[in-house]
Amino acid sequence: MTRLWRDGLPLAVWTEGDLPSRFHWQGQAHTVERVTDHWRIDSGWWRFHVWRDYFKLVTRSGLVVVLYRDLDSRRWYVLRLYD
Amino acid sequence: MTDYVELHCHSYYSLLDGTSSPEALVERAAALGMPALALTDHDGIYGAPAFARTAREAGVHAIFGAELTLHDDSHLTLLVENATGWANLCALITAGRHNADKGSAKLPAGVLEGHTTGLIALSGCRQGRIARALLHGDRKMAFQATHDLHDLFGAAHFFIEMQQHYLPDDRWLKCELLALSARLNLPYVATNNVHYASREQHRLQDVLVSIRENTPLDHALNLRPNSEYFLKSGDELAPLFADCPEALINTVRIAQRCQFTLDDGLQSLPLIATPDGMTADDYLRHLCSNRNLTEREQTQLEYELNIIHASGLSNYFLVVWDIVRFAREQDILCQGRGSAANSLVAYRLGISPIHPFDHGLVFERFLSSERQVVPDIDMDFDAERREEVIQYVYQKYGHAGAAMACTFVTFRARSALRDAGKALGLPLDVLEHASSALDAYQSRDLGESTALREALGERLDNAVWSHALAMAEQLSGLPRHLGIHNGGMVISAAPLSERVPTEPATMADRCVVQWDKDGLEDAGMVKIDILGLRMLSVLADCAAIIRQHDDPAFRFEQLTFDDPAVYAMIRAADTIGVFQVESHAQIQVLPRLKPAIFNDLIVSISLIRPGPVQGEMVHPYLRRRAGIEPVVYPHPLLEAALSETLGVILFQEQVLKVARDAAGFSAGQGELLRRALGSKDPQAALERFQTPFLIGAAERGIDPETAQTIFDKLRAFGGYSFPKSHAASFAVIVYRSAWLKRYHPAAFAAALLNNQPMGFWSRAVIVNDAKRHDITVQGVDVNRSAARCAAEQNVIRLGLNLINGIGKNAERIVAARGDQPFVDLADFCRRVPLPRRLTEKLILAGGMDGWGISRRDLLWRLGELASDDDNPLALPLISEPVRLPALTADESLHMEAGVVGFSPAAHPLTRQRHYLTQRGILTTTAMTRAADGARVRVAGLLVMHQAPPTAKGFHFLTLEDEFGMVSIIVRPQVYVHYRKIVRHAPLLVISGTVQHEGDVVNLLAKEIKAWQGFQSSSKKESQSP
Repeated sequence: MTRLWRDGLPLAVWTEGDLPSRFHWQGQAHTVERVTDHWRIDSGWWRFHVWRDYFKLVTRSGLVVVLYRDLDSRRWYVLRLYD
Repeated sequence: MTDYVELHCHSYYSLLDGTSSPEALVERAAALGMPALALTDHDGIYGAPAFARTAREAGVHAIFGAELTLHDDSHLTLLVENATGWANLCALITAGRHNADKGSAKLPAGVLEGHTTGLIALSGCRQGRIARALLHGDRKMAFQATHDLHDLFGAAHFFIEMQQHYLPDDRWLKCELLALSARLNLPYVATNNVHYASREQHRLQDVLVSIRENTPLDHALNLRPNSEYFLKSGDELAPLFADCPEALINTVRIAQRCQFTLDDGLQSLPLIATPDGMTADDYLRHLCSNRNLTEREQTQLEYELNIIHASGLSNYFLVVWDIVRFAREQDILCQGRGSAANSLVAYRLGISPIHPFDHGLVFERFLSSERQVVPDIDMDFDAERREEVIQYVYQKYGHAGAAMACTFVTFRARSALRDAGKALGLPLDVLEHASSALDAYQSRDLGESTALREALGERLDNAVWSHALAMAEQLSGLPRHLGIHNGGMVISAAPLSERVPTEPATMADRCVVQWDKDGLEDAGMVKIDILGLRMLSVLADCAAIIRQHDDPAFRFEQLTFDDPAVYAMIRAADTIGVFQVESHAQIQVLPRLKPAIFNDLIVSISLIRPGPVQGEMVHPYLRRRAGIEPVVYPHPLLEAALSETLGVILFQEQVLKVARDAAGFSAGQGELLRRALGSKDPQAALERFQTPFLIGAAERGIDPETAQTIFDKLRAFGGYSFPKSHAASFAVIVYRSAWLKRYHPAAFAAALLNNQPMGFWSRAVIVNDAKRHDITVQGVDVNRSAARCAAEQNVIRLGLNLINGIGKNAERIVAARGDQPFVDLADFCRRVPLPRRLTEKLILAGGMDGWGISRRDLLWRLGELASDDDNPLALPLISEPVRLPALTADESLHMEAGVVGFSPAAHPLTRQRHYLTQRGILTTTAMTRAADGARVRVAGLLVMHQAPPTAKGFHFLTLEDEFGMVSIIVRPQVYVHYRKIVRHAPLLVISGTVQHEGDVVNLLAKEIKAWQGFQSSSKKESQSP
């Protein structure tokens, strides 16, 4: 089962270097155990610029999450949660 | 800092894929502290010479290579280790290019084998065979491909290439590749598949892909998913290869192995057969000495021949001599242009028409021991017959030994805006409208363009248009596709493709090398420009007519350059059609310059050109010539060099002489100074000359202030100076064409008409000028016209070739006519089946007036004949004879002008003259006789409209009536009001003030109206202006 937030759900994320290390979601703090994948898109600049870093990660509590960071605004969002 | 060298990098010579010049890439690499950089464009090394030069200057080690497209469309990255590798790469690229359509490449299977020595192969990007197989889930195929490449290149020459661009499956792919390399014990290397120098340019790269696919950005399939394909430093890449740092270290190791440098110098030139076993040097001397020589000539010849020998160029001269010899044997008019006229050897060989002593020309402008550049010999040939010369060269040297230089068609302001706009999805008709509002050469600050704002209004401010303009500006100047250089041929004894790849050109049986003229010069290769000059075709045509009717032995060589009648004609600016001196600018200045001798023609050509300092040079020169201003020299020592131009620095040769006389520079040093003055960044280039110049001047007793003034004058004018040698060669053609106009005006005009488009003026102007010179112009006639315009005595018979679109049918009509004139339309149509449209044009142009039937009736009859043809089984049409109204004279005129561009019968204004005079509107001749300051009105056809960029918004118009032409000056503040009228109305009435400047009379415009003209009396009078 996955939950998808197509337009991204904003959340607070702490980083170490450029990688997410901790985030707050639904009133809870989650620590990132491992970033399993990291990709980047930069497109649509002629209409609606999408420039984002995506991170697929596993938390210590076993959640698998895809977060992304908008590289223009530097804000973080959650895209998808795998149960 | 992590050491890293980029080994996979595309410049804009990967057409419609890379965005950056080789220079920009080198600059970026240097800024990153990268010690070396590879250039690997798709199937080409177009950028190699510029890359080599810039890298050398920046202290970056240049690595050469290419990304090849193989027979299965996979990619392979190749880097050159040594000279053998380079020859192999050239051979591979040539093979790939000749195996595909123009603009593409596909290396046939099996060719790679046998061409791998001296090359290091990297397995390629995602389109490399190995990565591609892995991405398709075919590990077996990936393994096989790796194995095969490893076998082909050998262990030390093959690396698995890995790239990390933050794509979702990049990490996975890297793991697979690392696994492969471990299994086969192969080294691996990291690259970034660079397509732009800095991140921001990824947008331009997207636009290029969109253009390449001919699909708007919204729907383009092959856009890169992000902006990571820029030139990155080792520090930026290190985290991506943290698990395999060897990948980065290997880039440095590979770079150290690639030690090939490009500057090979002169290509091996073919040997011309010499008699009696003479060496090339001896034969050259022999050819130059076959007539009596003065002592001075002998000394100069020895001097030149020694330098030619020391530069290894004897064969080059013989090759050119041989081509000229062929042309002369075939009676093809030709002459050298440009700096070759500085050489006595060139003159003695018949290459240049100018004896350097006659004009104080300096050999070192052409070739010297200090000049580090190879000379170029440019030859002009009769444009109609140039192809024969080119074919001779191909035949003699074979396709392996001869090819043309390439040239790149680049994006210009208008095409850039159109293409960028299309990529962004803007509507085509709006784009057309916008791009035609642009100045052809404006590529900066498009957003500030008032013409654009007028065309687009507020749209200009919205986001999409902002993007379009920004992208258009970035696109301008980028190469778009390969064209053919206008005649530059490279000739070599050894196969050319060992030195530089060749690829097929658009014309069948023609090859181009992958370097343009700058690239060839950088690489030290010599070429010969085989150019077509239409004026030579005009001279040849005219000479043929003269030989046919007047003087069977006529040759141009019998003319001496001193006929006063010819100069009188030029002084009166009666020069329509004359080479180089017919333009509006020339017509304005000639009556003030008053040329009287051949040298004055040289001055005229050199002086009257657009340019920023024109005002500061032309006016002082003319004033001094008229005696209004005294002739002064910055220092007496300069008098020798500058007396011929009254103290003004006009010729490039004078720059050398001033440097010599004022500062003791050798001729070679003077030439280097002259080149620096003309370079793109003169300030920087001049620095190293200033101190030696000032020192030398001091040694000659010139005080420091004066010396500085002289140097500053050189700096200001030296960049604008014109090569006297070039002007002198051209002046020969100026004189000859002027002589023809003076003594054989009908033949000359006919020849001009036959060789359009060319020159400054339209056919209509040429014809009207001929008529004003009492030449009878007879219209196109199917029973009397030849295929081309012909002339006899003072009569021109226009040719069938003047009918737009007639092409080869002109000859067919003449052939079908034979000795039997066409008796009527049916007879004509039967004997010469033509597309109906063309027969219509012939009727409209008056070509069938000879049968005494009105054109309307003929057109009607044509319709009947056509329908007869369409349906042979139909019952005969019983048609009542139709009475069609006769054509008025105006209507006839109009019809002819529509087809031929003008009416030979009468000038459009002849029939209006009565009405114009009634309204006090003057003829052009009356206007030129009016007093200075008089307020007048004049009417005419607009035949010329110029707005030179250096004229600060001033526009220059030429109006023509049946008596002549006048020049109109329109100030910017006046033009603004009448722009639309000037751009769209062909007949104008202009009121303004007469301005006299010496013998030149202009009208300073105040008001411009369109002339509606009067229709024939059966219609109402239209509104009078």
